[in-house]
Order: sequence, then C-alpha cells, then structure tokens
Amino acid sequence: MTALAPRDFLILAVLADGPSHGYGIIKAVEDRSEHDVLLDPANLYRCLRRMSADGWIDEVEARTGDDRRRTYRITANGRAILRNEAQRLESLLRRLHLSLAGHKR
Amino acid sequence: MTLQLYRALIRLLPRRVRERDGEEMARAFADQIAGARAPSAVRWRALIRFPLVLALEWRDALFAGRVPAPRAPSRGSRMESVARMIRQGARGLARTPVFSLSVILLLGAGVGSVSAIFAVVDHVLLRPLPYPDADRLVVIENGSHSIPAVRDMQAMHSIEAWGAASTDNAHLTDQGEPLRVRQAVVTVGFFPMFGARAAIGRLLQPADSQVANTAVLSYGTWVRVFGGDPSVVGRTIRIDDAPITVVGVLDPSFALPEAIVGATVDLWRPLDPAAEYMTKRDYWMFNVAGRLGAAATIAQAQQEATRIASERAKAFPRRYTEDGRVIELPVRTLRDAMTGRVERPLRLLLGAASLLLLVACANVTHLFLARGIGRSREMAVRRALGARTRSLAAQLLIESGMLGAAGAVLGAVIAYAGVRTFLALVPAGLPRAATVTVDARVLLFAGGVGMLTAVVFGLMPALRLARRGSGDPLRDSGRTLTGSRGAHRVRRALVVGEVAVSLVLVAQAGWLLRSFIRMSHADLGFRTSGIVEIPMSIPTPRHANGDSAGASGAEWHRRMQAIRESLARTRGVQGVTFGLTMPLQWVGGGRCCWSTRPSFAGKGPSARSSVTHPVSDDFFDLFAIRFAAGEAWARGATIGAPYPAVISEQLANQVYGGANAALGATFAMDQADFRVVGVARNTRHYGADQPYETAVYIPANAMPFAPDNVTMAVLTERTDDGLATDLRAAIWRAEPKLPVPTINTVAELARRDSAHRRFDAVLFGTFSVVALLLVAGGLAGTLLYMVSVQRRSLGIRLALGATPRDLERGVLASGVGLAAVGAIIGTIGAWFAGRLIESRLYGVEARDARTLGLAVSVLMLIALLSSWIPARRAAVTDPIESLRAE
Repeated sequence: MTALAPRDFLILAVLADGPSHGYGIIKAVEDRSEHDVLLDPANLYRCLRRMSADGWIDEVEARTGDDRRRTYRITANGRAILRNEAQRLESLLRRLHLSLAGHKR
Repeated sequence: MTLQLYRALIRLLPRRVRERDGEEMARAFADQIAGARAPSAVRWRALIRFPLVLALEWRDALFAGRVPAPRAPSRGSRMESVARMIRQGARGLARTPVFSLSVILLLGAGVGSVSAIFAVVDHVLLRPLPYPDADRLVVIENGSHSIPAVRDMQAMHSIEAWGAASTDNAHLTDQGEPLRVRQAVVTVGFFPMFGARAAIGRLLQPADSQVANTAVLSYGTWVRVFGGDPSVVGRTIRIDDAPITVVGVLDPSFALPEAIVGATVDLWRPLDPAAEYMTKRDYWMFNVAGRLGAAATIAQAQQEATRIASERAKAFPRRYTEDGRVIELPVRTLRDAMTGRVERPLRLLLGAASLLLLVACANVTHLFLARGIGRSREMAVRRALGARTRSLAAQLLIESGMLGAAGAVLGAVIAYAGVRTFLALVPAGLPRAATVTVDARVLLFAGGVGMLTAVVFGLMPALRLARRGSGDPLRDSGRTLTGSRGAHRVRRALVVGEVAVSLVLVAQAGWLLRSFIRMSHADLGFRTSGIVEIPMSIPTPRHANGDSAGASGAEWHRRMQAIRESLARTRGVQGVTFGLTMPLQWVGGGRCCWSTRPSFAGKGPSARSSVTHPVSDDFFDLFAIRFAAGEAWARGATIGAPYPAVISEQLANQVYGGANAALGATFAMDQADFRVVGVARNTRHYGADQPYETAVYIPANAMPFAPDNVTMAVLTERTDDGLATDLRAAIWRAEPKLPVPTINTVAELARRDSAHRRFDAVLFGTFSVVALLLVAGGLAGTLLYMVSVQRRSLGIRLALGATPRDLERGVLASGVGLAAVGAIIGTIGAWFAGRLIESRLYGVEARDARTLGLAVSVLMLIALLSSWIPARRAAVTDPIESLRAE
C-alpha cells in the first residue's frame, strides 16, 4: 500500500466531514494541520482535479441565491482510500510506540 | 498581488484547466484574501507558488494528456523524451544555482523594466479610447471656439455628430463649507458622442437647454459631496447662488475626454439659451469634438474646415485673421489630441528600457557561453554514450527556455512594482494614467520577451555545440592554451556592444540631467522664494441667465482691498499684491486670460496680441522684477486716464526697437488710454521653458471689468505649517463665504514646472546606472574568464621572464581596449540618439560635447575599475602551479 501525500490526506479528511467548496477546504485544511499545510487556490484545484479524475471525490454545483459555487464531496472510493491510509498510519504508529517503549527499558 | 493580477495569471493556464477551474480559483483566492488575518502573506504565497503550478499544468497539458502514462523508460515517444529533458534540465539548473539565479535576475530586470514601460505605452498609446467609434472622433483645434463659430462648422458634411464643452469654476454654496467646483457646459450632442450613461437619474436632454436650470453630477462629486445619496436626483442645489435641479449622476465608468474638458469636471450643465455666449462671436469658450461619417476621411474634414475658416475670415476679417493670416481650423484625431504630446517621450522611455534589456541580454549570453564551455565535457560524455547532437542541442534549448520562463515571471513581478513606481513618479498630465495596470496583455508581452531572449541567447551555445565535430571536446577540453577562439570573439564583441549601448544611455541621461539642473536654476526674471500665491474666485451675483451682473468696479475694488489689508496684517507677511494672474500660476497647462492688441500712438494697432496683466501697486516690488527703462507707477497715482502702464522689454523692442524709445509712448486698449512709464525686463510668466511674452502691465483699477478670478501673492519669510491656516483665516475675516482651495508657494510651482524634466532625469539615470553595473559585471566576468583559461600561457610567459606587472598591464590593456572600441561606437550612437531627445532638452544643446565627454570618461573609468580584479588575478599567477595543474 503506498502512502498518501499529507495534503491529499488532509483534503480527504476534510471532505469526510461533509461537502465543501474550494475556500472552505483551504481553511479547514489550515485549521486541521494547525497552519502546517497552507494551500493556495492554484495548487488546491490541481489536486481536486486529480482526485476527481481518480474517482476519490465528485463535484456538485451548489446554488445559494444567484451565487453559484462548485462543491466537492467524498465518494465511497475516497472513503476507502482514506480508511486504508488511516489504518496504515495507525499500524505505523503502533509499531513506533512499541519501539519507543522498548528503547526506554 | 491583487485579484486582478491573479485573474491575469489564471488566463495563462492551459485552456482546459482555465475553463474548468479558473472562475472557482479566482473566487477562492478572493475569499482567502478577505478571510485572512495577514492578506499580504496569502498574496505572496499565491504569487510564489503560482509559477510552479503553471509549469506543471502546462507540462500535463502538453505531454501527459497524450501519452497514456508509459512508466518504463522508452526511446519511443518524442513527448516523453521532452518531458525527460525537462526533468533533466531542472536538475541541471538546480546543480548550478549561481548561474541559474544570475540568468533569472538579469532577465527579470531587463524584461521587467521593458514590460513596465510597455504597460504604460500600451495603455496610453495603443489601446483605443473608451468611446463608441473612437477611431472616428476628431477635435477641431486652435484653441476654443465661440458657439456661432461652432454653428459655422456644422456645415461640414464629413462630420455626422458634434459635441462641444466649455469649463469654468463655479461655487456650490449650500452643502456645508463653500466649495469651488469645476463645471462643464456641454451641448446636447456631447454625452451621446462619448457614450456616457447615467448611474442614476438621466443625462441632459435637449429640453434642458430651454431653461438651463438643470445639472448632472459626476460620480465622484456625488460620492464626495452628497455621500452617494440617491435621493439627490430631483433635489435643488445652489450653484453660484442660482437654484439648479440635479437630474442625474454620471456613470463611474465614464472616461473624461481630457482634450475637450480637462482633467476634472464635477458638474455638467446644459447650454443656456439666454447667455451672451450663444450669439457673440467674441466668446471663444468651447472646445469642439466631432465624429466623422462612416465613409468620411480626416482629409475631407480638413478640406471642409479650411474652406469654412477662409469663408469666415472674409466675413469677419478682424476676428478671424492674425498678422494678415487666416485663423485656421485644424482637424485632428481625438486620440492625437489626447496622447500626441506624450507619445514621443513614452516611446523614448520604451527605447531606453529596450537598451537596458539589450545590455542584460549580453550578460546572459556571457553566462550561457561560460556555462556552455564548462559543460562541453559533459556533453561529450553523453555523446560518447550515444546521445545525438540534435537531442543535446534540444536539451540546451529546453534549459534556456525554462530559465526564460522563470525570468519572465520575475519580470512580470518587477513590471507590476515598476508600473506603480512609474505612476507615482510621473508628473501630472499623463492622459489615462489612472487606469494603467499590468494585465494579461502585459504578462503575455513579458513572457514573450523573456522566452525569446532566453531562447535566442541560449541558442548560441547550442549551435556551437551542434557544429562541433564528435569526440573533440573530450580530448581537448581544459587543455587548450587559450580556450576556443570563436567563443572569445563572441565575448569580446558582446563587451564592445554592451559598452556602446550603455554609452548611449549614459549620454542621454547626462543631457537630461543637465537640462534638469539648468531648468532648476533658470532665471525666470522674478523672485521665486518666499512668495505664496492664492488663486481665488470672487463670487459675483449673476443674472438669471447666468451672466455676471458685473459687480460694480468700486465695490469689487473695495472687497479686494479688504482682503489685501487683512492678509497684510497676518503675522510674518511683508507684502501683498494681487492681479488677474500671477507668475507660474499656470504651470502645467493653460493660459490666462486677457489678451488684446494695444494700439500705439503713431504706430497703429500692433500686429500680435499682448497678454494684459492688471496688477496692484506692489506687484513689481514684491516679485523683484527689474526694469530696462523707467520704473513702476507711483503708488496711488492711478486715478484717471491716461493710466500709467508698464510694458515688457519684448513688446518695447518689437514696437519701438528699444526700451528707452518706448518710454512716454501712449497707447489705447479696450477703450482706455495708457502711457508707458516703465519697461520691465522679460519674465517667464508661464514657466522656464516658455517663450517671453509681449506683455502689458496696467494698474488693477484701470481694468474695464471686475473679473471673477484673481490671484493674491503674499511675500513672507514664514514656511511653517500654520502659514496656510493663518492666510485662509485672514481671507475669511474679510470674505467669510469665499472658498480658498489652494495655497501654493512659488518655489513649489517652479518645482512642478520642472517636474517632467526631473522625471526624465531620474528614469534615464536609473536605467544608465543599472546598465553601468551590468557592463562592469560583463567586462570583469569576461576578463576573469580569459585569465582563467589562459593560466597556462600566463605561466609560460612568467617562466620566460615576464614580470607580474607585465601580465597585469596586459589584462588592463585588453579591458580598457575593449571598452575604448565600445566607446567609439557608442559615441556615434549617442550622436544619433541625441536627435531624439532634442525637444526634451533645456538650456543644453543636443549632442552637447562636454556631457558626452563626461559620459565617455565615466564609462572608461568603470572599465578600468572592473579590469582591476582580473588583472590582479593574472599578476599573482604562480608559474609552477599553473603548469602543474594540467
């Protein structure tokens, strides 16, 4: 299983909480990573385009009043990817904790 | 990085990406800025990261889309190999960061300065004016025209629509403090001709000209004075004490046709059918624009205008001839009228920036050459491993293309900052300056220039490589005694070219700097220090038809006297005078206001008109104007005709052939008689570069009318911040309702007078300093390189008995020699370029040899200094060391 880039992981994690539009994603990613991952629109939409081509997310045009904005939503496929990544990280962490604990002794 | 710039950058993305996500990206960016605690950090991040994404998107668009991800290294697809070359190139460039950064910086500086100037030139000169059928709009020149004259013109068949406007000052008195506003009286055709629309309410209609009590506000006035309150439409306001109904507000997008109405208009009024200007031919007040018929040409219009001019000169010879010649009606395109004045200076600047780019390119070539030679071993190895010449050359080209792209991006950033600096520095009066921006066109220009220069100058080493036979470099690289002869020739030629081009720049900068200095020290013929000028409009009651009721002369003089005395009592004021106009008041354009033809006894009416200056008694003392003969009239001795008068030396010479001969002469002017009591030395009333006027000074109380506009001049040693406040307070003590919009020191006016020369000097000066630095770098680099490849031969010479001194002298000589050849070529170039700036010079002859000599010396000095380090390097060559090194 290949690792997911931190940026992709964060974007998927944000969308797992519910659909969001571009700026919403940027902001949520910033918050979640405690300002460690800062996105700019050009970069973000490049990622979003790739993820939606891979079928991890899909797009809906949302309409509020006369303000049209594209919203992104995670797909089942995307959730699976996210879950896999979470498991991989967990097992990684577990092993890490073990070896750290072993060192202490 | 504004949203606007971000949108411009988005437009550079591949079309598929742009159409899909461009809008969303711009929106997210705007939200991000709005929501950020530190917007500038967001801006910078976006600006820095965008180029990378841009490059990736283009790579995807060009390569990835067509090749379905063949991961295995194959020789098959060309696109794949290009992608590989890009990766390889990026790695290669990252390995030589000093080289890459230098190239990017050089390209950025050159491309940036050219693009900044291009942004201005493009916006001011190349874009069509923002009016419907803008290319068919013309103006009828030769100053302003009377309404009857406009009616004459309307007989022209080639012009299908007309618009005329006249501007003056008015007072808005019922909105808090009294305000002086600029009002334009326009004909019915004016708004439609310039495609104006109303933001709210309506524009002027033919019916408005029946009663003339309506007005349209400009958008700025509506916001500033009325707080953007929409209920102003239909309200009645007081203008010059008359009730006027506001019918609408002009749309903010309306661009003022500055050639017709000047740079500001606050209020728009219809023609007044009862006003004297509707019928009198002497009211030369209206600037006239017309639209050519769809099939008409400007030549046809000119032909008709010429016919009308000669017909009216026959009908009214006294009015429409001067010096026996018909007063013509020149037809000019509106674009010419608006931008003709600045076209040449702007093109000159573009030329200067291009020269700078050229010098930067020469240095880029130096760098590429040095690298190309350094890499010939690498290339040879790769060739030996089976790479074809073509693919090696392509590799080099791709690398230079990448550098070009990076340079272009940096150039765009510099251009963006440069345009702002330029607009902050530019003296008032550059038309359309307010709306200049760096937009997609400018970015495209910057990108094109950057890529082109990088590719062209990167191509040279590529071609050299391609031409070279196989195998050689591997064998001889680093072992030749003198390096490649061809490369040296190119490098020498580059240095010579750089020096020559820089000399042209430095010489021009020198000439412009000298003329700026001359102008700042010009003798204007009057005192410029310690004087403050206060232009003011005296509100006079008006008839219902808008004409001045002509405040009675005595009343007007009483009020002026009161203001004058009140000012004189202010702390630190040593003298006060007033007149219709004061020296330098019209700096930046315009002329005032009263010119007549005095009729000298025994000589008849003078052939040319003279400017008449009604001034109060202290005028000549206060401005320290010297006399060629006679003296100023005695104070208070101006009771009745013939009034005493002072004429300018210019006029005295023209009429009497000398100052003394004019003393005592009498003349008649506007139904009054005058006697010449003094001849004043010539002054530059309108600015240091304006010609001397034939001028007549008369006592203010000999004026046959009470003018609306006068200017007070105050002599004081005070320069503190409280001065303006004190002077305003003093005026308001005498005239509580008088607006006092501006208080200028004469010294400040004189500075404004030379502002565009300062601007020229600063800009050309900056360009030439940068050029000199580049020359120094290029020359030092070339010599250092030559010394390093000649180390062996230098060592041999030392071993054969040459002293380090000899070697040092040899290097110095070759540096100075190269510079000398460049200087000779540059001198010839500067000689021709001098022609171009001739009209911008003041008090300096075009091609002034002393300046040129100085420029040559500066350049040679720089050449000497930058040869010094390489010369030292040669002198410390260790013969054993250098021979063993092989």
